[in-house]
Amino acid sequence: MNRPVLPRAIALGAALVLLLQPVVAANAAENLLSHNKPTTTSSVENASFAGNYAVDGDATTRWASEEGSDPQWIAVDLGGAATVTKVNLVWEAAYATEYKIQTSTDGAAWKDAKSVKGADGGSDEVTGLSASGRYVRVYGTKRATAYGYSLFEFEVYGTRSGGGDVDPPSTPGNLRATSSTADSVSLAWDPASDNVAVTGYEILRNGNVVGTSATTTFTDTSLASGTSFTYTVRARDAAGNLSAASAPVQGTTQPGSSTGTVLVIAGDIAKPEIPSEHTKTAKLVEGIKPSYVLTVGDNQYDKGTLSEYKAYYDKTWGKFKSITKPTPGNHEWDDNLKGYKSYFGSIATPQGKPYYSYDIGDFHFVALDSDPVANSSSSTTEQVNWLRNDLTANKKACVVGYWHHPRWNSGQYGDDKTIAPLWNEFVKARADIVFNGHDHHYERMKPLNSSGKVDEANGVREAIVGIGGDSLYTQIDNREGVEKSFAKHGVMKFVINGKSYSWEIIGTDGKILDKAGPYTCR
Amino acid sequence: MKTKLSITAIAVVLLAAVAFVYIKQAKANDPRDMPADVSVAVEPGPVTLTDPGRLVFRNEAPGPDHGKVASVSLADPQGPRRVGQLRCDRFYTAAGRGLCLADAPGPLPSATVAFTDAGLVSQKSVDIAGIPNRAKLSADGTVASWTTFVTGDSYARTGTFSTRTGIMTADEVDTNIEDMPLRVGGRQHRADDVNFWGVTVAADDRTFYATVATGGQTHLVKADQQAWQAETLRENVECPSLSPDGTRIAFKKRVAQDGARPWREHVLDLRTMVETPLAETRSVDDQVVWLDDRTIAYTLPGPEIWAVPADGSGAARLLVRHASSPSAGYASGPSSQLPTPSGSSSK
Repeated sequence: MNRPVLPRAIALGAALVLLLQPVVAANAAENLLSHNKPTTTSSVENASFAGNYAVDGDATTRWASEEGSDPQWIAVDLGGAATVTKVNLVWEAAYATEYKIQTSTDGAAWKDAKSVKGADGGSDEVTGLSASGRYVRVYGTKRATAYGYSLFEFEVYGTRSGGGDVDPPSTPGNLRATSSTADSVSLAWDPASDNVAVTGYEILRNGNVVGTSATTTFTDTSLASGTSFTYTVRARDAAGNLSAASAPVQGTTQPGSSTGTVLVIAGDIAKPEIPSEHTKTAKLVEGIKPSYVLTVGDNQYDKGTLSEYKAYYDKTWGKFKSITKPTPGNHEWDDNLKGYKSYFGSIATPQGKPYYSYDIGDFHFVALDSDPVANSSSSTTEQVNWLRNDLTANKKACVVGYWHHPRWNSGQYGDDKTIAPLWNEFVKARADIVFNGHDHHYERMKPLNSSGKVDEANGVREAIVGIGGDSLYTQIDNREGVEKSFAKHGVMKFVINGKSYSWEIIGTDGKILDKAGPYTCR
Repeated sequence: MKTKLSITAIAVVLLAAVAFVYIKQAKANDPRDMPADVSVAVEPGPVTLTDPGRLVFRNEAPGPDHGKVASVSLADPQGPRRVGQLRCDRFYTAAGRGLCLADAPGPLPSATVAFTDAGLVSQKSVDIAGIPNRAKLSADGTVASWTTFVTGDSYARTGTFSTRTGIMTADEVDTNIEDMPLRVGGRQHRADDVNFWGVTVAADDRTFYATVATGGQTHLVKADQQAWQAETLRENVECPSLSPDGTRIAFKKRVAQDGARPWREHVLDLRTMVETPLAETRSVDDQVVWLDDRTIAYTLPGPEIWAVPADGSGAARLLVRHASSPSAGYASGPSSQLPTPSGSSSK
């Protein structure tokens, strides 16, 4: 039950700049007025998607209205009268094609500041406004999908007017990264000034607020090792006025202590409706600097055509194409692998087929094409025979399999019996670990046997890494053997070292979301 | 920070007030908090699924026992009911075992599905996504199947809902059978919009029938749980229910695209593939149950449980008021045990 197909164009460049650093570009007279201010909404899909998530400065959380009804709206109370000059909207896949920006002095009577028609989702920067009011709302009148309206971020810029302290602090200067460890970055900046007093600073990592500080220093912790992040800082006063964000600075954590070869693994990546997400995961890969990138299918939506690959995947994950060892998913098969094969060229079929194997150190990697197996088409036997022969011929101590459809799964698709012929070969071969995608969440399981029961002696580990950028599936009912699961975008940093392996899952905010291993090969 | 704190404080107070009013209203609307309906006679005694000649159902009478599994004598279904302690949104019994599908708390629609023993004690259970909709056991009580709504909550408008259907045995759980390879009209079918619902398992505990919707059309499918393959048999068949002798399927057939009566309950003879409309002319939105080889029972709005002959003859008759989700796992008797039609009419 995938979301409906919504072919359309996206101003990718604009989205990239806006999403990564949504508050950097503000000019001095234009300050963010909406951050963490009270919101009201016409409805919410459920408590996980309340209105405050649209103004929290965290582009991984969002507001979503109830599904299937018009109009729907979200309003923010700026705390006092203001002149509104700009509104930034970052839509989830459930976006509005028609909406209005409205302002109000009392939260009851609304005036249109701007009517938008033919919108295409992604990121909308509505500039050149000259509206006034204490309340600003986005009033959606036409949905792009059968779902509701959903905003990752709703930012109102302008200047406060009227009584009380309406002057924001000056912009903090000279932001610098002073030191770093394998999992932290320390920052310092020059103090800002205010007509009353600066009460503190907010620190943003890759455009998301990650902490506050009462002083002019901050240490950001629990970060992925050997990774670069972009930081900005803004000042606030007692009245809640926010300064513009400082000039950005790069902070980089030290390489991890572990030696070995670093690979990145993820799947379900480039979704045209939400380019921000695979842009962010590609940025993580850039920071990790892996030797190889392994994909577990559905690299490009919606049909994995060459033009879609060129328009989206190539502009983000395409940077790592020469070190990529891909597998196709069901969406690549929607185009009969035509786009996949022409985009990746010989990388897609290094041994003539969309399934292949290769060795790195003591590890044997097997890349499979699971969609024909999941659909029981006639070509299945050939691949399974090839797999059996390949695993029999293997001389390496460690065996890793990866493909799109998981055999065991706590997400929406559940366990998939059709994949048993692949899984059972890995069990028989005493393989170590299998990575999959298809469901859009992360989970890690104890070694499971061919019946899906925990079996430390004879089972194979499995992890689902369908978190590369498509809309997440948040409802996970853990099956037997699950050690950890969540629905957040990110990538797996997989490290092989001699005959052992370990991994970290790194979220788009740069934080480590899970650590597994080290495990010794069987 | 003073301004921010006071805004937060006001917001907290307002939210608390709103929550309080909401909870008060929700409580007032909860049938469990309504006074018990004295017209519904209750007799003491446990609900035991191995007791012969009992019709088991979900008690819908307002009062503290609303939603609990109950039973009445099939010989006197409008007589006093016994009420157990287990609360389910959908319940089914066969061969002395039970299957309870119950709403679970949480921000997202969630449910728990559990096998129960004859004394309604939960055995193996799994947490699943969605709003409870259908639940059924195979005739020997060993294979459980269920359907939940994961988007929307009504079958009334096609394309606006999405279902999740699972199957569970003592040692296997599949929370979503949608990945089962499907042949439509003899050809392998590949589509993202496939929805399964309303499973009914045959006596061999591996063959099952179900509804599949894809491309805006509903189909009756016959599937093999071991071979993991399904193929379509016929169009416009929803919520199939296999007769105890395995020769016929009762199902709801869409007879109008919308309106008050979208479905008419039919019986399909699997030997001749002849469909017979049943005497019940009201729209039945249920996966009906067979009380014996000649009689089906189902829930109608009220909710009330009604029965009608399975051969198109006779008339519908009321079995139990304030009740839903009927089943009779230990009916063990001819349908003549059921009361003859009363003055109630289906017209």
